Amino acid sequence: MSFDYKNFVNSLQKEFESDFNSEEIKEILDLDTELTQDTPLSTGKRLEVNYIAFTGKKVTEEEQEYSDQEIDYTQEVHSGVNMWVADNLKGKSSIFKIVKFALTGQDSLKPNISKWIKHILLIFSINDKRFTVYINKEKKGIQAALYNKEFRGYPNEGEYEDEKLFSSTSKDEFQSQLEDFFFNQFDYYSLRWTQKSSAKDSDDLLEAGASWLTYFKSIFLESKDSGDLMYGAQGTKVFQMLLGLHLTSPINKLSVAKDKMLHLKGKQQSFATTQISDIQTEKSGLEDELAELNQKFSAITRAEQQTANTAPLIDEYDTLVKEMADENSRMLQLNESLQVNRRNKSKVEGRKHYLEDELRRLGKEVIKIEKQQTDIKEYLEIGVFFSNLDVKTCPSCSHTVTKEKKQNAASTHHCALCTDDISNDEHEVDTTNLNIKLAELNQLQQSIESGIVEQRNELEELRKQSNELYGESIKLEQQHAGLKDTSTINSRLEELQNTITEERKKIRPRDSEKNEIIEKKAVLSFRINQLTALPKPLGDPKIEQKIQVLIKAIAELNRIRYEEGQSVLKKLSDLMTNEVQALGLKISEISINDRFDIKYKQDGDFLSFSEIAEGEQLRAKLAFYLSLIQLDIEYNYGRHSRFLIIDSPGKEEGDKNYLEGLSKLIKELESRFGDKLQILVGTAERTLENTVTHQNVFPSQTFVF
Amino acid sequence: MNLEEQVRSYKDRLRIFLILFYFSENYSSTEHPEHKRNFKSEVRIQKIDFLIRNPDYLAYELLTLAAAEPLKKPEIKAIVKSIFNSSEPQLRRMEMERFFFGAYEDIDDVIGFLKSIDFIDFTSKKSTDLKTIEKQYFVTEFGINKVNSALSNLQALNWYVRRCELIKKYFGDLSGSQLKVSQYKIEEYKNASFKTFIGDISETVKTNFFNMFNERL
Repeated sequence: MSFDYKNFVNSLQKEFESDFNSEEIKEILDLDTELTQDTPLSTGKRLEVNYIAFTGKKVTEEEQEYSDQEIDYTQEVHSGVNMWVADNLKGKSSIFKIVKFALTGQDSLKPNISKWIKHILLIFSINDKRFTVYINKEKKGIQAALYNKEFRGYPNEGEYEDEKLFSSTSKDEFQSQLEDFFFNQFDYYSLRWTQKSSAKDSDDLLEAGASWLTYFKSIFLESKDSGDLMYGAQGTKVFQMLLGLHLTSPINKLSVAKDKMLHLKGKQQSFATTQISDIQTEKSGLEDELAELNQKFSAITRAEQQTANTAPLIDEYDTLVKEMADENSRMLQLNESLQVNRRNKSKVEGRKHYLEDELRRLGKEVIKIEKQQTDIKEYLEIGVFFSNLDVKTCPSCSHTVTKEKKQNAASTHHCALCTDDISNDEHEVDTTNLNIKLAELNQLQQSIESGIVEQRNELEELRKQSNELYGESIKLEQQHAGLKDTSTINSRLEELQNTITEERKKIRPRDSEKNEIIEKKAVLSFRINQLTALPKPLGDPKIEQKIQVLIKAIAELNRIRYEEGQSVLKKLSDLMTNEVQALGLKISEISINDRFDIKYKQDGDFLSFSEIAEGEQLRAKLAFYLSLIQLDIEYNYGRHSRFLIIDSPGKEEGDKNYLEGLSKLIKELESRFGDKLQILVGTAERTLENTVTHQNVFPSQTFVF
Repeated sequence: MNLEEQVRSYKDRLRIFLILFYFSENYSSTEHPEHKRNFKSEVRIQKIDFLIRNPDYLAYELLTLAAAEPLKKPEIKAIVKSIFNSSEPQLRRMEMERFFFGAYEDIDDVIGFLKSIDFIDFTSKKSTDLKTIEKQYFVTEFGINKVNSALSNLQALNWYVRRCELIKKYFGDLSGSQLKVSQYKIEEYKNASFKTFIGDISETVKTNFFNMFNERL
């Protein structure tokens, strides 16, 4: 098989000469070792299980009849078909899963059963070379090892150390060690594919590869997978690997590269979109800012117009000032009036007091005069009362004072009693003088009394005036109290003054504010324009062309592979046709296209595997794998390990023809390829008993282990 | 002797005589058939004289009496009113000194004068410490005749007659000591120390009058 890579590159370059030179094409393709990795020729190797053993204890949470039973299973396995016949749910699948665990490192046992198993020992061979897998599940985790030696007893700690190919204490590590081992033995490699990261929000594309476990799906045909011909989305990868057609690796590599590039392009686009949306965001942000500025600007303009509104404020201010002035002058007037009133009052009061004092004084004067008058009147009358009286007795000695004595005394101007000289005494009161005095006093009294009357009148007048003044003062005080509280006016004035000043202030500093806004507006407009004008091309500008190169290359390689593999695929489809027919299916022809889709021709229509009736799918599937093995055995093509585990092949397809066909096929396989392949079959179908030599039949209702 | 002193002396003579005349009891004696009326105790003279000379005190005593004997209120009210309306407390007041036992003024001169003109006569006893005690005064028939014949024609002296009658009407039964006790109740009188004049109590009377009759004097 010759593939001229150089030619291939050149022809591609010609097609994309406007974009790439041949070096660039080579760089895009980046193929080297992949070109020679595949060969459809068989390695000639086969996998064979020789001995299965495991121990443990059936520990159950709930008491069962088998609780705490010791497990100690050993089973020699032979080339050809080995059959386990037992009722369902009695442990057949578990045995196969233990085989899988030993060969892949993956424990797919039901967890409760897995707990029972403590030691697994499996001897297998690749061609004639024997290997032993030992898994110790005694402790948490596992202790597993592959030995380059066959032994049937569970090894002790450190036993067969020299024969140990590898060992591990973790399932993951054990898995990868087994993968390396089997990939190496069967020339398998990991065919790649890409998948989206399962991590949320990540748009990364992850590269994944087919593992030994993936390829093991072509060995272990589990009953649950019977609906699919090949295992999952990677089925065609497994198929391609098993076929080993030339150029499979380069095609795989280029496909992965293309996927990655497509993803990158998508990312770029989304990145560009992101950037555009960033720009949009920025732009709308700027536009918002601009709108805000415009609003501010018009607000200022409005505010400036509103400053005309200080006019009413000023009017109010003026009115208040006038009111205040009025109020003040009123207050002044009132105060003046009050002062005048007070002055008058005090004048009146002064005069009143003077008059009152004067009246009191005059009253006293009158009394004094009256007293004098009384005294004089009394004096005169007492004089009359005691007049013409003779001294008759001496008050001291009580002697009678005689007439002679009195006449003698009178003539000598001596006192008749004490005989003192009384010639100079004014013995007799001058009544005339007293009467004149009395008349004078009368006159004086009258004049004083008339004065009193006058003054009383004046006082009365003054009292009236005083009352009037008092009334007036009350009135004035009331008026004064009724004056507007100028402090309120004052504070309102202050308020107005502040408001007006504030309003006036708004005008001048606002000019600078306006200018600032205009400036900012200009800057924003410029930036918005810039953002509108600038598209942002980013990333690999030739990614699309590169993708085209890859698509073209893949298509071309696929074409070449298909052409070159045509004979192999023809042989396979023929083999498959024979097998399906042998298993009782009415399929006239099977075709395999360049994408490895298998179509079954039934009643003139080409059906895909999933379109075949369910009752026929298992047979088609068996036919497919058996054909692959036969392809290897008979034509020396392909890389199947020639080892199959078929779990419950008759479960869903209770069709008598099928079972007969299956039985016949098994027998035929046994007789034809008994020494070239190994098939482990587990079935609950008692009709399949005795179809093969190596069978382990378990009576009804008994456990396999 | 100036006029004022003369006037005072005249008045004293008249007042004391009228007191003896109006406040004395009828009297008859074979030894002194001319003694027609009898008056006991100088203190009593002094106290009655005090009431005459101080119409405000008289008014006060009258109001006190009215308070004690409500039936007399109306007439006393009229009397007090007339006393104050005619400015008696100022016009008729003749100040008097307070002596050891109250208002007192030496009246020996007056008594001597009245005796010399035969209006009265008097007797007294000497105590063991030579103090004159138990003074008795007798108004003579001559004196009584003089009052009866002359006094009614003398208008200016009529006031004394009426005043004596008034005091007699309300306080005539009281002895000198009783009057003294009554006067002592008055703050002004009590507080006037030895040898000072007894003050005016017009205002107190006015207040009492107002309190009693709800009327200003």
